[in-house]
Amino acid sequence: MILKGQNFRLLIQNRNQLRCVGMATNCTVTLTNNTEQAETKDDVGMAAKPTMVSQSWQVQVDSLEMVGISVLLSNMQRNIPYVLVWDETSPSNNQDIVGAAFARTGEAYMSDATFQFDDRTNSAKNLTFVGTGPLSKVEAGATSTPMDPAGYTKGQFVRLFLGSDNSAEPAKVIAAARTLALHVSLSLENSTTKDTPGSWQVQEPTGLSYDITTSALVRGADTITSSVDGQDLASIEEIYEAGTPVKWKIANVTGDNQRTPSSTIVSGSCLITQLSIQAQSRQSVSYQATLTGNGDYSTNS
Amino acid sequence: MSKNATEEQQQQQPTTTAKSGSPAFVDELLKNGTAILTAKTRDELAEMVNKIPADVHYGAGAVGFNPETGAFTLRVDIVNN
Repeated sequence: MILKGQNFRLLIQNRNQLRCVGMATNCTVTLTNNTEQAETKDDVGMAAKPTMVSQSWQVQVDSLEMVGISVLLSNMQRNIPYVLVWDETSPSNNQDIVGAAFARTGEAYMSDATFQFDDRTNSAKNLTFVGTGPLSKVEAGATSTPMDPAGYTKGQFVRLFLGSDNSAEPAKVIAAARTLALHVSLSLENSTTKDTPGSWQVQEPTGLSYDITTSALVRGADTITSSVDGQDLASIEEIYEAGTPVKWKIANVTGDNQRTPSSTIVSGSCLITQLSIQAQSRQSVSYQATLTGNGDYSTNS
Repeated sequence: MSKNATEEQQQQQPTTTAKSGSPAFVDELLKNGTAILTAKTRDELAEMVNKIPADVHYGAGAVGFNPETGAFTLRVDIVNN
């Protein structure tokens, strides 16, 4: 019987317990033999002759689970590697690993994470892990720990707030927002040396960067600023023109129009690095702002 | 602390001790470094979060909603940044 995707799962180890990535929708494992061309004058014909120089691996996983976002962001900041496992899971609950012959485990850094919060859409994250060191077979008898299902997060209940400058608290919500994405990238350097045993590449974190992208609709002369408090195109343009950092936060929201911030998920300082305005005939005018992180973010609420 | 993190794990070891009279989820947060808060409304969740002592450095995830149980969920973790 051909294995179905719901029974090929990525698991992460913590405190000697293996748990599936919750609410995962897709995962991709990529194993690479890195090669160099080694054809010489001794070879006849025109064909290439690659030889393997190192091995590397990468895992991507998509998930609808967002309740653990602050810990992911905190871990990324602290350069903590993860122990990953991929294995077949039992069809009875899609969580118990069965110890398939193809199951493998290894240590990896989370090098890239995107968290997407779009209006009226289930929020989702996309994580990329880059292996550091070898892959090995999963020990016989390894078991996984079931996890409790988390709820869905609708994107309209997580919003971006900006201050007017870097001294002002980020108290104003992006008005009429449609989309919001936080993308964090941990730079890795291939730190394999002659001392490294085997052929597997090892990685070393070298830097962290992030950006936030949001899009919103534009009101006409009856501006949002004058009618409903919030950052609209005019105030975003002013922040852009100032060219100085501004405080931001991404927070859970409550209340009418989903505008009242409750617990903060992540916050920091940023520069608006790009602002594009889209005005197509017979369609609503919208703008998209890209904010680039300035210094560390904080996951303290 | 274990070197290995997990997908939504690897909290800092709690450094604050539980205070008498604090809500059960606060005790759980201080004891385990993580707690799941559940409530029937978002406002209730916000009120629960406000009961976490000011000296506890915690991080909050995005609020989840389970349509099968009708419950709102918020995960809080001790973080260190």
